[in-house]
Amino acid sequence: MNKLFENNYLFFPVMRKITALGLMVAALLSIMAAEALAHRVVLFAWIEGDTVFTQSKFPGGARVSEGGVSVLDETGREILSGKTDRQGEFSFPLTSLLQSPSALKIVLHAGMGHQASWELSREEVGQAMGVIPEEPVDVSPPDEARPESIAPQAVEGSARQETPSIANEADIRKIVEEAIDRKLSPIMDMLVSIREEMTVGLDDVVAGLGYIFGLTGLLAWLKARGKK
Amino acid sequence: MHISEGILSWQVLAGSGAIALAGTAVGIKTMDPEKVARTGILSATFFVASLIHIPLGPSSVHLILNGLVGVILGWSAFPAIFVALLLQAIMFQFGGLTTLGVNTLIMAIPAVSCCYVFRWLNRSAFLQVAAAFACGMLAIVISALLAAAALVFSEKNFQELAVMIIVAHVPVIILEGIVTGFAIAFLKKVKPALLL
Repeated sequence: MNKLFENNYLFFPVMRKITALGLMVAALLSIMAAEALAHRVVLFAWIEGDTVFTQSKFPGGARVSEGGVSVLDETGREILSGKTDRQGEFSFPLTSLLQSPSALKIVLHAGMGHQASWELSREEVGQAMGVIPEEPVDVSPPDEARPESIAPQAVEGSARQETPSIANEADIRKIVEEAIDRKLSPIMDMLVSIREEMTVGLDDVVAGLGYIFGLTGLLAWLKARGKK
Repeated sequence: MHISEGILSWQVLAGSGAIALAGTAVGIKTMDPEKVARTGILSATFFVASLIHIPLGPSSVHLILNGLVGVILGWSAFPAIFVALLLQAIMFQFGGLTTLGVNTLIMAIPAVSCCYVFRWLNRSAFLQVAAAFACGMLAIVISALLAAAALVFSEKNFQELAVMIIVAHVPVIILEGIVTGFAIAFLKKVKPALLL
């Protein structure tokens, strides 16, 4: 088996050696941090109440501390700039910054050629500022839908004062779930995009290698044809 | 050292793109038909090398291997690196399509320089391995200087920036020297024809 690889242009044993060696050296050098070596940075931003929170990371989870952040409005004008803290976080209030809702583009400058951005839509910003009404949750009174389930409870409630006369447990659960879903949906979107941003899939690697070998074959063919 | 999109001015991007294309054309034109296969293999090595992350403190570093690519390929390092970076940009969003030219130059110019250094030092068996070790390290240093030069228009102070990038890459510089040295020593034993 080894013989076969050794006579081949593909030097797998070298790769094995390299990996072992790399790990050894990594252990020796483990004191040194080198965040700037990441291929790229990722910035994500979300709104909570009136405040925009941002977090900046290198793939692998290292935070971008002291990274420059600038906030641009719809017209591309910089309306705010600042620096991330040691946790890679940077936050700013919306209402004091903007008179009217605008889509925001938040750009992170992590230095050494690394830059990332995140956009917040006009709707998101408007909703947070209370200018654009939030899309209403479907809170149609449950007693309309199922009057028979509510009626006995209401009667019971008026008889005994300490029991509040509200819908049954299932209905409360439904309302709460809807509200939570609405609050969480931007966060879920964010998680999805973070996953997409941060991971390099094995299929991408294989596809890339396939392209390289395909191009090599193409070039070899062209060269061979040119020789004749 | 993949420069992200949206940082450099279009003049820098267009200029470096033109030079990178010219270098790639030279690399393809001068490529020996027998050397096509090895160019592809080293392109693949370079493409994958940056995915090998080695945990280092709170973060991680990755191999670049442009020194190794250059020592073996010479001018063919240009097309090899160009294709690998193009695919990294498309598949992994490392760097970007507009910065492909400048990123190619940052990686390929040191590679080609290393080839000349290696040939110049390539006199005895010991020197060959020492030269490979030196080339592995030198390639990253030159890359860092080129990256600093490309960024100087947007981040001002060249000297400060160059020092900062080099210092951040010290672990990689050492790692690349060792890896390149061992790889060349191994190839010399197994496939000396690759090194000519």
